[in-house]
Amino acid sequence: MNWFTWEQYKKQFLMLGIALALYAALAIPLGLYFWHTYQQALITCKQTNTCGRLTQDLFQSGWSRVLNPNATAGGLTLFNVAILAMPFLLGMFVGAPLIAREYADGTNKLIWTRSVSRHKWLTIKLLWILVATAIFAGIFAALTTWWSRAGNVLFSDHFSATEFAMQGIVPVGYAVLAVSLGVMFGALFKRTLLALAVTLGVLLAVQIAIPNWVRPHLQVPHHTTLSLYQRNIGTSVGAKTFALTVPAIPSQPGAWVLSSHAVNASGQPVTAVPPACQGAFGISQGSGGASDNAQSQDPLACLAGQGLHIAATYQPAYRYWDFQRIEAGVYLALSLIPIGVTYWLVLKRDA
Amino acid sequence: MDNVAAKTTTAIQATDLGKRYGSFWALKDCNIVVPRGSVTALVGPNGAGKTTLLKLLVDLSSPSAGSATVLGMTPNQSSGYLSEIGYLAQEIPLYSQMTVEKHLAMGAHLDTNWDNGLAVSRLKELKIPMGRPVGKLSGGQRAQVGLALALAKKPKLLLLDEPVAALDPLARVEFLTSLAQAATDAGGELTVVMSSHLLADLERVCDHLILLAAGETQLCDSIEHIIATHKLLVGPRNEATSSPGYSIIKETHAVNETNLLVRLNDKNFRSSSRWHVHDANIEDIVLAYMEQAKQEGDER
Repeated sequence: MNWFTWEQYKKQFLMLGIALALYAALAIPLGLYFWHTYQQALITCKQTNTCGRLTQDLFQSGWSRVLNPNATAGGLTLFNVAILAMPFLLGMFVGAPLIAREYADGTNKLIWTRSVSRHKWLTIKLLWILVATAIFAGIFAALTTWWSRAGNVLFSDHFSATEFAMQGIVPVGYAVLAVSLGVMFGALFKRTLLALAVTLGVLLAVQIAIPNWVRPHLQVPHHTTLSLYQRNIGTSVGAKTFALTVPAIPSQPGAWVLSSHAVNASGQPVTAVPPACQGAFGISQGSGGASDNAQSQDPLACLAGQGLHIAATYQPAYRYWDFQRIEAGVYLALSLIPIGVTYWLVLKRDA
Repeated sequence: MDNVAAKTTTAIQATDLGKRYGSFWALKDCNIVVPRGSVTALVGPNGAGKTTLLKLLVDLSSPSAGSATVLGMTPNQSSGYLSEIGYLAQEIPLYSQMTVEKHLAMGAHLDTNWDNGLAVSRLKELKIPMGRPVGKLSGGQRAQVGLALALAKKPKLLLLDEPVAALDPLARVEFLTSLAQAATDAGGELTVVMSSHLLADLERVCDHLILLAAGETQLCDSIEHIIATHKLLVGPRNEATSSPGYSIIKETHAVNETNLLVRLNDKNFRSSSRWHVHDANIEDIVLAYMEQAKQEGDER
């Protein structure tokens, strides 16, 4: 059965090998170039005492668009999309056809009537495919992690939703889940195209649900309050309301900020612009008109003067690998469901 | 004692075997006995459940009612059971990208009693290109590869589902010759059940016949016995046709004569002098049963 599985899928294994080689050919020079440029810039900036601006300087040199999509207005780059798509492609093109194709071609009736039990056939097939998937995704993610190190150091963003899904061991868990789901839908629908489409849909749903609703709660987040006298505070203003956010915690580089909002001195959330600061926000105060003094004042300084500050919750950077381990474990555990269902479908249902 | 005897002489016994898909019975109340060493034709109109029956026997499908005993076992997915059964599905499924050689290697790796020499010599004799992907072979060649894969397993029971349906007449003859040869070579150790609509072809190689129609087993016997117990009676028009000596399967009337195809209930039946008794051929008998079943089905 091992020989036959190899014989049946050697072309696919070869394709996966080629894909890895191509990625390595791209990622290794890129990673070396980034790291080298970063080291050079570090030496130069020490001489000119401009290391505080290093990030912006490199940012403007153009390569930050690849390194840090979140820092640019465009969001994801094509390169990142390609890397993030890896588990999806495996699920759709390795997982979904695995059993669906046997049903569609009728070859299940050939192979299930050899002197090998269907159970053994399925077990060996799944083992080969899932182990190959894990190895492929592992090497793939290791390459991504390696070439991203300059970006990780510079931008401290490897906890961000995009980077988290690309680096470390999470991609392995996600790829195994993706392929398991593909196999199950293939066995369920017996048609590759339908299985492929449903697999894609479910994977997208998981990829949206986990970072938004599950990952933030894997461990109890830390709380902190920040003064309004700092850079990087995002302000949005409504009719008579405002909201303040921070993308990062200055004292916690690399931390993942889950939420941030303005609070008053007693810790109550504030969304309405205090009357004293309406002038600073350029909000007309009815008939009287704003005083010149208030209008020239900085809105944040005015809010700070009213005793406001920012409350934020975050996951500290040192939890990164805990989160990677937990989430990879969750994906692997979830994979057991489609695998179990696949056994049931293949063994209990008619050919 | 009876049980042991049954085990050694019966290859297949099905009792009230049925398969339901939703509310539709693809096979119902199937009762058959297939003796060991026989070559049995499984015939019946489309939708009579021939494919379903064969799939039940090789456990590609599980029964909704009744039971089957095959070679003394209940059909299952174990290696021990499957190694005794050769099965060739209707569409002759093969891995179209794989060469003939790779298919044989598959058998060598996956089949317990694989006889590679047998498969190779069979296919070489038929001049089938061993290194070519099976997707590029003709229909007849594919059928021969499928048969070789089933036979080289050294099965005790070979189940063939419409193996010649898609073949041209020459390939059909070649296939049936191969099959007959294999059955002879096995010297009574091999039981064959083959479904088909092509009665003339089945007659060439089969010694037993099962007729499924209208959800029932209409006939299950040796062809010799079926022929011996069915007669064509030709007599005058307008005369009572019923008799305790036979059951009428089919009755047709011409201008001044009546034709009856009957099953004799009494071995020593002698017709009156006004009736002529002729032997019926198996094709006529099978067709008569199929028509009768169809009429009963329409009346229901």
